Amino acid sequence: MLERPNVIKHYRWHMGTWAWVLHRITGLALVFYLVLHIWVIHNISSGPKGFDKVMGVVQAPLFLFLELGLLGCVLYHTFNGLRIMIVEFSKEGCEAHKMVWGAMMAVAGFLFLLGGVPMFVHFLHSIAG
Amino acid sequence: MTEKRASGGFYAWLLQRITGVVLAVLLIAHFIVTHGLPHPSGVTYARIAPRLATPTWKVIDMLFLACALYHGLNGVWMVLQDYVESEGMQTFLFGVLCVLGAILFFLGAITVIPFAVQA
Amino acid sequence: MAEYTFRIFRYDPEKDEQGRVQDYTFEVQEGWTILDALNHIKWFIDGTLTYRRACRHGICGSCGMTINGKNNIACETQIKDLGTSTITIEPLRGFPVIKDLVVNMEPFYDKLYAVKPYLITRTPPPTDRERYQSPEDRAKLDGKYECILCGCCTSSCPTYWADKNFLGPNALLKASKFMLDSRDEGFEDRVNCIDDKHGIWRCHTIFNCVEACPKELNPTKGIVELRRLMMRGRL
Repeated sequence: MLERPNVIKHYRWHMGTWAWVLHRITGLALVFYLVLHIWVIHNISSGPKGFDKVMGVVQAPLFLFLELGLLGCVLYHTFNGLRIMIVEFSKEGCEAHKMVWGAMMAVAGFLFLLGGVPMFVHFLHSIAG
Repeated sequence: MTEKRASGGFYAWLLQRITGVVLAVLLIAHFIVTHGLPHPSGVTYARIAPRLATPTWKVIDMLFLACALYHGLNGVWMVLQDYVESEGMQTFLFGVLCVLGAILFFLGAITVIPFAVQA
Repeated sequence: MAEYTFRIFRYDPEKDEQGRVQDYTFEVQEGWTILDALNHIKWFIDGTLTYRRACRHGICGSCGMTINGKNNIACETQIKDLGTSTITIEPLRGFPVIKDLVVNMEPFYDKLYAVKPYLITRTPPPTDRERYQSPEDRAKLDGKYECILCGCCTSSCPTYWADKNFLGPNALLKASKFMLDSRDEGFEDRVNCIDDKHGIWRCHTIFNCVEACPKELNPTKGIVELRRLMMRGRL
């Protein structure tokens, strides 16, 4: 018997596969960020000078731009997480899971614009001056 | 079949959902209060420190820390269970995650709990 | 009549180290299913091609396979509906391949047996009639009992690919069928097996099983209903 057969064609992805893979990737990225965050904020114990120096580094233009990605990860992971809970805890959510996903992504997209546009403007200001 | 275990995952599953909701609420507050969204402003000691020194925010931040660490590391554990086949390796990695969690919680706790504004 | 190329996974345990791809190109008649094409190959082109089939009308569950990267039963898949002139046919993923498109379904049946897929009762049945079930209680089992055990769902599940001890959508749907049956009294007999690190909490609600099921059942729904049932029992 062939235990691990080679595959000719990858298994077809659909909305649920994308939702799950993105949930994992954003989740792992957020854990990585959480570790950095705890470590960086620990510098606040060293007083105003030390803290503002470190914050100056992590609020350089490059990081302000990367924070847009962070916002995206947080919003996706939050709203896909909510979708999973709606699917699990509501009576109709499971059958309407694609609609629930659409609705959640619409809210996440709206919030991304709401928070992301000012953040991008802030980033542009930081490059300019 | 697989070995039988009492409650193999119910509480982990439930806690993942509870911490998820708590994190969602706290994150909204965090974005608005700390980062000033939708009008982002730089994070400076002068702006952050006075609030962090209050007991209420210390409690909130400790809750935030605990929920984030549990939710994040349990998530990593779920991913590891999927891609690490050997049971021995899984147990080892579970230990690594627990130690990592403890270290990060300690690091966060010594930042938050004794915090007082310095001149 | 139109010409199609079938790219078929071949594996002969006596000759091959690993699977290979063999192409068959021929004219297909209007209305043919994938099973008709496989029969055409076996009967008129290459008698060595091996696959399972029996009823050829979607009730025996023998001909589950991966067609163009998605699980389905061959006898219910219209060639025309696939919309491509090159069609890839592979054995069900996640199971060891015995020969060509025939996989070893033992791991699949083991999971099914583990959840005790039969009515368990403690009380004796009435002597004058069968055990009563109201139409409302019976309706709760719609979408749970129609499974034909083709294996398409479990074989499409990324969690099952990763963890071969995971019970999988099929066994969990079956468990939900009995645990939500008003006549069944075997909750405690099944709960140990379901409530396991390879059991019900392992599902990541990816919905591949729902996409794959040829009978259009919803194993994920069975799983989340069982989760709610178990949560109510615990809290």
